[in-house]
Amino acid sequence: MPALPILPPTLDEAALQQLTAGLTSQQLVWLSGYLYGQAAGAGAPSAAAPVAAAAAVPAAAEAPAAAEKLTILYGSHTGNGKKIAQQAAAAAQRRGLVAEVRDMNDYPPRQLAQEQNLLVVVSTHGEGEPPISAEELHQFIGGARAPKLPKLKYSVFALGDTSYLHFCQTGKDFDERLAALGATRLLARADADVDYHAAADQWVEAVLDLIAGAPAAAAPAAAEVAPAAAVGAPREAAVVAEIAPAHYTNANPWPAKVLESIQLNGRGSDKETYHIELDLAGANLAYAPGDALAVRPLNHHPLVEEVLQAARLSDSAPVLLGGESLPLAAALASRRELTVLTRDVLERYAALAPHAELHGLLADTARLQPYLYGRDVADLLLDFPTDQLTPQALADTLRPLPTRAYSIASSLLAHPDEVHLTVGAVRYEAHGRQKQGVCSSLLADRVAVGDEVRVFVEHNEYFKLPTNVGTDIIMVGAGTGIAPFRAFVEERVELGAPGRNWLLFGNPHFTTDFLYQAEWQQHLKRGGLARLDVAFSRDQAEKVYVQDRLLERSRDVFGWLENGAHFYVCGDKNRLGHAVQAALVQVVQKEAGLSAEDAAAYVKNLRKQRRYLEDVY
Amino acid sequence: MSDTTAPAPKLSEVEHVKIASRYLRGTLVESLANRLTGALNPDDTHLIKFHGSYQQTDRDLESERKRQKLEPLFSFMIRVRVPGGVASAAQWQRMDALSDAYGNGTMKLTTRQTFQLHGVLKRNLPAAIQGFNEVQMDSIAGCGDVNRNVMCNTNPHESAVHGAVVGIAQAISAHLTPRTTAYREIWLDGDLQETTEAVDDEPIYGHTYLPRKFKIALALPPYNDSDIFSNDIGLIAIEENGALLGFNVAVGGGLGMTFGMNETYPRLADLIGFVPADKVLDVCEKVVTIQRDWGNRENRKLSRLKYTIDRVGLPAFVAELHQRLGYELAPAQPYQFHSSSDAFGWTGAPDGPSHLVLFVEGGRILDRPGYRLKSALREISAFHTGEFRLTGNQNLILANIAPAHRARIQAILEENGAAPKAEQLTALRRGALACVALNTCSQAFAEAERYLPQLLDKLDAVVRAHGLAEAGILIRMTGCPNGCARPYLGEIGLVGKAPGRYNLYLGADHFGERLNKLYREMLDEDGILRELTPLLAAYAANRAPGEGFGDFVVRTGVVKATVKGLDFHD
Repeated sequence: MPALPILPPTLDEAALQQLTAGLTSQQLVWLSGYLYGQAAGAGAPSAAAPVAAAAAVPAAAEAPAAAEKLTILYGSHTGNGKKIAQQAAAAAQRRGLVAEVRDMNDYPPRQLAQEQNLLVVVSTHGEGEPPISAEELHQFIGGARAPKLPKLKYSVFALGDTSYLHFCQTGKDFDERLAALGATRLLARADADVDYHAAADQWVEAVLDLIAGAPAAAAPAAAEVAPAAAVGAPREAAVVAEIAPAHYTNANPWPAKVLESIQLNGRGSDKETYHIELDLAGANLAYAPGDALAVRPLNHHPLVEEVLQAARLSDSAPVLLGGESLPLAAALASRRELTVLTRDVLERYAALAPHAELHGLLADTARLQPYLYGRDVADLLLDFPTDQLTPQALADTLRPLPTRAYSIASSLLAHPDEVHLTVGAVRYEAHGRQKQGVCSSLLADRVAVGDEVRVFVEHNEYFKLPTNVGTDIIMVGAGTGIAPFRAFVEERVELGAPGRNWLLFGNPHFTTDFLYQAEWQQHLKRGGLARLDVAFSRDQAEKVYVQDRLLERSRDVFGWLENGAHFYVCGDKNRLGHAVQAALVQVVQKEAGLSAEDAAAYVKNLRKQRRYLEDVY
Repeated sequence: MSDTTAPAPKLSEVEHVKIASRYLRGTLVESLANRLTGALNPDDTHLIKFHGSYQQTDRDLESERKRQKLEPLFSFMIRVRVPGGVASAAQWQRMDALSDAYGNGTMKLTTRQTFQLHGVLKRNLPAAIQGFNEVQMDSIAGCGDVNRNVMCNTNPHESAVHGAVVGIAQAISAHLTPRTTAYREIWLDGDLQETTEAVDDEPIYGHTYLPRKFKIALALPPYNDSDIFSNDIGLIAIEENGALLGFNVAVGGGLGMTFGMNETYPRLADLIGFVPADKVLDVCEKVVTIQRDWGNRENRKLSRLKYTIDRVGLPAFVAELHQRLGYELAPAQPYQFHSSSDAFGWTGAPDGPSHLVLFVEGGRILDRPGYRLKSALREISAFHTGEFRLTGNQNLILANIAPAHRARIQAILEENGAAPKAEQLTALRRGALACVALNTCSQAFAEAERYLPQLLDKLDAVVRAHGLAEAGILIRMTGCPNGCARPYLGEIGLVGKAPGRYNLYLGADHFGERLNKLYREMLDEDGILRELTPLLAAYAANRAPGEGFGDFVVRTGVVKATVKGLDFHD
């Protein structure tokens, strides 16, 4: 798709002549309507907004430096930020804007001073921390060397998760700091929850309306005009969104048939891990090792019943969700989050049920988190009953049921038309009731071979194999964190990648919890794995974890890293992610003879180079 | 070191493993350190037998685990030697504790008077072995191509000579124990000697050990509970006026065979003479060295001493023995066996030490609802001042019970449901033997220990119906033809050929002196009952006074008598 040129903000006769030269009468008619629409664009700041034109401009020289620039900066861990940035760029293009998409990781902070229009898409991690790729810029704008930015117009799209206390904190930081540095906020910051798609669509349209006016109308007409643009001198192409083979989303998932469901843990294990194979035949659905598969869950019927009973509401009471009317039970089963309780739900519920204790909880973070932990919607309704709850109010109080994403455990090269998952069944007793994970229990108990589950791929931009097949990789996984590494090794075997693969795996017991043991043994025998180290924490008096194996093998770990190896971690963020990073710092400290600080910097640099990659949850 | 085998063109695989093993070390240390599998390196699976252990898998879980993408559930059986079958209370307690800590919670008392732990994971092997080493027990030569646990009749009250015989059994065991320090290094010290050649010397075995397993048993007439004729060397104690004179020597026994290979067969040992007690060690050693030098090292199915003897002929073998001894054996002395089974219950003087022969079904020491044998024995082991004696029939003797403990022991057994009244069990059941078979033995084609009690429930009804509840008919079941529960010496021998299918052998005598013969093949349970019921009915109706079931079926022409091993398949 050729780039559409940007016009200067003011037009003269000559320019108009040039604009319309060579257009057919039909095209001129269309253009007149288009330009009218542009001028009438609601809220468009007339002075500042660049006017887009769909026609050709002969040369850049004649539409000089005055052209306004749009930069879209993203910083995110999973690649969702990049996706939104690219979506915004594509939308800008349809409005005739040239937008440049930049990864914060590679963006020189001082360049901020040269920006005119800036969109920031940034996620938040852990306790309100920025993603690694955003760290440097985040620090820069918050520091003393940050320049004044009086000419900058910006808006921030913040990615987060309302179940965390510091929801969208990094986005808030960017928003506040840019304002403090004198920049003009084009549009109020959008704070998006896990299911960000609708919020992203809305924000992109609204903010681009403000910058460039309404988009080009009918696509076919635009296509007719487009060839004329080719007359002009070629320009630097804007970033174009990748075109996926088939686009499945939450709203439009692929109904994948279950081909196989195997409990991977041997008898007597405390763990319950399932290997699920799903059919993609006919889906034209592409994924790469490192991607995740989002699964649309359904709440377990008994839980829906418990919630209805606790709410003292009828299962058949009609409620309206997004313009659609459906019985409350159905709405709760398929459209509302019931198993996880979050702050935002408590806030909305507190407005309905004015319990002093509930308000007290919301006011006291130290008590709120322990309350939320292990409780579900039924617990909330039982703890704080109210007569004010109508079916609709309940539906409105609860969060939409988000999809659950699982790291894909297979390579398409090894298993064409299939996608495999490694799913740990979540079951526990808490606060007097038996609980289970909404999606893991669906996959473990409630779907049988032959049933369908609704899925779509969530691409993970960064958790990917090295592009150079000769690069070595070290993979550290615990529990279901083994999943992407099965995909990695399968892919590298299929590709005949000469780079060495080293897997370190941990779980409680050797006999029952060595996930995919027989496959790893075969890979070792045939060279698909160069090394395999295992840590079974509960097989001996003292607990041993994968990080301990890293330390035991420190010389080789460091040797591989120095040789350019990529280092991957997958598993529980708190138990594995932090411990592995700390162990790696120790490894570097020991083997390179560095101070703790310098070793930490070494590891941080690995992250920066995207050679230390995490898929932790 | 003596001459070893002449250069053989096609040594069996195991011979190559032994040659390369540096006196039984192989790569066991590396195998144990490998965390990625519960198995050993393939060659080490042969070598670990010499250390008293078999690598096994849980065959019940084989297909399930394959589907789960898990390797087979490997575990190890450890056979702990109890020369002469005599264990102390402290040793019993330790084995009991080890079976809980590292095994499957049970112990098997074997037909060779050993303790077997089952289900020991590779990573727990050293701790388990160290555990019984601390109470002066070992597993070296529990299995492998060496002399195994030396068996001995266990009736301590029967004769003053008994103590002397047990002493000789223990002396033979010690004399024929491999001298390699590999066992100590690998399991106990964890400290490997670099130069093994200098350290190790196997003056009897040489560096390739024997071609095949080797078994020795001693019996004190009239009891033959050690089934001495099924051994490579059987020694029959001859006493005179309360003193041990010496032993009749029998050679060339062995029960294993292979289905479909008629050149393999069970064989009873031939009596070749008498040796005074002070020369018996010498005789054993020389028989071992002949087998070391003459035994077949190309085909392990034909390696046992019994085939060596049948190949060269008994006279040639005896001549060689005489030559190596430098003297000749005297003619065998008269003796008589009355029984090869255990006499259950209490014996001994009311005011002196007493003994309790305890029936242990299948030799399995365990707890199950209503039958807490393992717990009861643990409790008893805490105060019992005598010994725990393991019989060759998988039973247990609480020996030399102090008069003050007698009532207490009986009470504990009763409280735990572990002292079944003799009348509750038929003699058929009390004398039954079964090997381990499924789920852990890799050789098994069919069930044995887990199934025989159910079959006996049905056979009990038949024998009771015909008034044979107290007829001591020997029934023995194995899961394969290798003979661990001595099925070819059973009056009723059942040898597994396929899941749920058994070959039925009949016609052995009651004293372990005549082999049985194949009667029917591939019987399922209905078939077994259908075949045995009329025979038992006929036996009940027509037996001569004192006539055993095995003798009866031979006399009435149901089967031909097997006179010698070579006739077994006729």
